Amino acid sequence: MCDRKHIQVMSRLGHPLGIVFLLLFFLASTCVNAQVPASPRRIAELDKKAILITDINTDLQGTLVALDKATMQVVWTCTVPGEPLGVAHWKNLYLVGDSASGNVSVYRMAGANRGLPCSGTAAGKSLEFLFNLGQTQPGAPGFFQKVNDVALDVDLQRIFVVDTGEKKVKVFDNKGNFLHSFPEIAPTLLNPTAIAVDETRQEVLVSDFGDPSGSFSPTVPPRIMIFSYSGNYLGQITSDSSNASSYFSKPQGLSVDGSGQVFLVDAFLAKVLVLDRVTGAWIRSFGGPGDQPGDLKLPLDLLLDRATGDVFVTSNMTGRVEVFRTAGRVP
Amino acid sequence: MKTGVRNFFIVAWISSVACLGTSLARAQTSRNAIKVNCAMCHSAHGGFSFLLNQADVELLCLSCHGPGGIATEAAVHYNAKTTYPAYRITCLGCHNAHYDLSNQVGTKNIELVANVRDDTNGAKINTPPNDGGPCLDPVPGGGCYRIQVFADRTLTGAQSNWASTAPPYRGACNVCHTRTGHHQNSDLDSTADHTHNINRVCTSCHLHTKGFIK
Repeated sequence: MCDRKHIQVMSRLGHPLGIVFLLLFFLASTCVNAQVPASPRRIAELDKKAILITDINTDLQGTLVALDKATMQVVWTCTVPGEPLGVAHWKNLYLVGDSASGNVSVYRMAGANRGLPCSGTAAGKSLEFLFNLGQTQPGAPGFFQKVNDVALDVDLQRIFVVDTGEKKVKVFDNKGNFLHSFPEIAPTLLNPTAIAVDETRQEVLVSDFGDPSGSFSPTVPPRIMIFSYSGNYLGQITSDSSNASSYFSKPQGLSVDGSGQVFLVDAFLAKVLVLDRVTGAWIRSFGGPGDQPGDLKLPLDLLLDRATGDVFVTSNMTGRVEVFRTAGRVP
Repeated sequence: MKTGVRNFFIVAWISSVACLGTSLARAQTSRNAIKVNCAMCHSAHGGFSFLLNQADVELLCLSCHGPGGIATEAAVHYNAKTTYPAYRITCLGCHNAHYDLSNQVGTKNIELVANVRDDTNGAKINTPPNDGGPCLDPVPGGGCYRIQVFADRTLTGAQSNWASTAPPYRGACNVCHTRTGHHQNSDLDSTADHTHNINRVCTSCHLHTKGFIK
């Protein structure tokens, strides 16, 4: 059966395929059985043509959804257990953080009945579970207390996971073996949420809510913490509450481009800030709050496409993935 | 000094004193509990401000309590997967961050469950206008305050704090429910029962992370 919401979303976006599907919905007996983002969470690059998002659909089922970058049409959807959050992709492997179980599970696309089913262009396939990162015993190396976001360095085959509960970044090899965690010394992470890897500079950037306690201002303001791959502290970009432009409140997903511009989405202020990696200076912002197409409401993650400059943002409460074409201005 | 400006500073002073003098809510379930105080919400836009736009409140709550946030995850309560008429109970429908209060029976009201206080300073949930069921505590001019006690999240308190099994039905879950098959607070549906999973806490199946929908 065709997903009515899928059609409505595309029609609302003015997408020509949405109008076509709308006609088909009423006139034809068959149509694509594609599920759409209902509560999109985090985002990763699938390949040159598609992005990957984690979602809780309208049946409250966790899904992994591939969207075409150009058309923003659903390419395929696969069901995954639990409440998928952080996501990353490498070759045929899919890493999915589950905020319900606390695991980061590694899957691969396989034939039917090897795991939970897929639809769309992946119909007849399933995501086969391979293994979980880390260990399942509390206190054991690599155990996750509250898994949040996942990032990869494909070349070095390193997996970086931010654990909001333990306030650490945990590093694994491509076999899932725990290597080390950081930071072990001050300055520590206080309330980390999302993570990005700068493969060019071999740096890890972590969004951190800081310490919001304090009667009139946070004890430690929200910030982006920057570390080397080995966990050495390199610096931070701190929210400036005295400047409305450079202020950020609830920092979430982030990306960095080749010239050192950091793209950060703020879940509460519902906008994307572009900040200088070295000086922390505000460069520009785009996006804004609202319920309409193009607006953001509880945006949780972003992906910068370095080839096109397009910025994809998961807007959780509007149930859409918004695209800001060339807002990264890379080409 | 102009009256308006003077009033602003008076309000600001009162607010700041009230803020400093009030022991506000703290998360009580996690060992990583974060102290919640004035600045956490009232400086969300940057400089300290005393009021929050009502529309911002849900977004503000979910920016910490939503997916990917730093606190215990929760979702708003709406009629997904049910045939119940459309509703959407947002954070303030059940919680008030300022009401780390005792309740009307003199025990601690936990989880900030209560959105108003009664004339004895006890914590209550202000339910929508009554849906045909008995109004335990009518409000002059309409509406219905149902007395709420939420002092125990454990199984021990499951039969009274979450869903009372005998009238008056004042549990956190059944104060609003008038059409559910189980644990409703009225006698509109004679088939409704009050024995459904009484040995379990409601949220062990009806997760707050999924808007209490199972």
